[in-house]
Amino acid sequence: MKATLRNVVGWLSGARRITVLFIPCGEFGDEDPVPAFQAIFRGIRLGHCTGVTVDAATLHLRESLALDGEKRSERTLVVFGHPAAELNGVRVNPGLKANNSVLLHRWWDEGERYCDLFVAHVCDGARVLSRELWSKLFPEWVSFRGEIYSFTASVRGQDRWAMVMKDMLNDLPMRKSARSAAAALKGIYLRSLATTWDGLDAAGGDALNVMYFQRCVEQMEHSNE
Amino acid sequence: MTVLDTPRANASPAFVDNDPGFVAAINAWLTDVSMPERATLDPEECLRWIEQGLVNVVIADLKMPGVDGVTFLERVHQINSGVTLLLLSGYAPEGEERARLDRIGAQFLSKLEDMSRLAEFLRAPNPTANSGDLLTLRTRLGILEELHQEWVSDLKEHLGEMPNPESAWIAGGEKNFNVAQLIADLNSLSPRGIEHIRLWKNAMRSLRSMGRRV
Repeated sequence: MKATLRNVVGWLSGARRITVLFIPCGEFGDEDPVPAFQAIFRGIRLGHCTGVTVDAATLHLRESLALDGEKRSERTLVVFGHPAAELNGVRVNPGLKANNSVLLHRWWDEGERYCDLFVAHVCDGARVLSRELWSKLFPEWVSFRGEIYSFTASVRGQDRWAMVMKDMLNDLPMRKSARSAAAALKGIYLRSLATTWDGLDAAGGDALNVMYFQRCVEQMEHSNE
Repeated sequence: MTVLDTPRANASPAFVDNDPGFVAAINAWLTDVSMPERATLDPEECLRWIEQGLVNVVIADLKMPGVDGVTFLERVHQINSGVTLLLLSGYAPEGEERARLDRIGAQFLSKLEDMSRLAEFLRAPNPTANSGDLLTLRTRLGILEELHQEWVSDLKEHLGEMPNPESAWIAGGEKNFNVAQLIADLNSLSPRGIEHIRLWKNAMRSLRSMGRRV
């Protein structure tokens, strides 16, 4: 029912819808940033976005979407997760039916349904997505090379990343290529850097996120490069 | 008397390390001073440099992709026994590993304690040295010192205002760390500390380009 209401609101708003996948990893325990991003997402409440959590491996993306009340992914996918050690997919907690710890490319393959834009907030996501099988599946992607950092262990830190996430998810529906999405995202990170600096709250950890927004800009890559 | 106490002429070093942040930081400085980027994650790439006679000091990490630092330095020694070999790591080699290093005349340096000694070694004055390489290297190390002085105290001042730095976790891939550890990294100029100094400096550059006063 909630999902239906969101769909109606999103449709009325005329915005291209976005599916946001959160794929936490139990091995990181309380220090996993993905649940923090998930909580931030819940707080910003954007009608054109649907958040889906993949707590444990399933057989296919469709299965995870159905578990969360969605039938299929939207044409823009945004993922928050961790890379597999072999850089062949996204790490996941093993599930009951699917005992694997990596979501390989076939998990994401929806056959004829294609993804216009894939944004992966994943360390070394660019090295995964530039592999042949992945680039066929997601021809237009934006991600990062190397590690990216975030500081969300304070209310202020969460507020800073909420600003980034909100701007990012509001902007992405307007982007038709990875190149324009990457340019827009770099602009968002730089704007967040400047805004954070303008009202710098050192006790809240702003100096850290100033550096980490900078790093996101430096490490960002896209499929059209 | 260690290898670090002996000044070198025309020092042309190569760094091999498994930490992308460290490699990126060293290469950024090399680029800043128009020198070839000779810090790499790939030991094979470094071996090619040795074969081509491009470097005469190799500074390797103990842990590297596909090969351990000791075995790697043995291979360098086989190719050119005149190359100065330094193993830079947070873990001191012991027993057989230590003996193997001694056999090829390699020196162990602690990442935590010897970074400044390494810098001194690479820039040591030598009456026979008159090459652009050494001059440029000194410039690079000067930039490192400048970074240290100009930015670290600024960054540490901001971080010092944070309450409970031991419980404030920073998410960074598989290497999550807390603010207290980051402050220690800045004090010791560890690779992670250096990477954060680089990020702080670049963030300030970005702010300046957006008209902010920093």
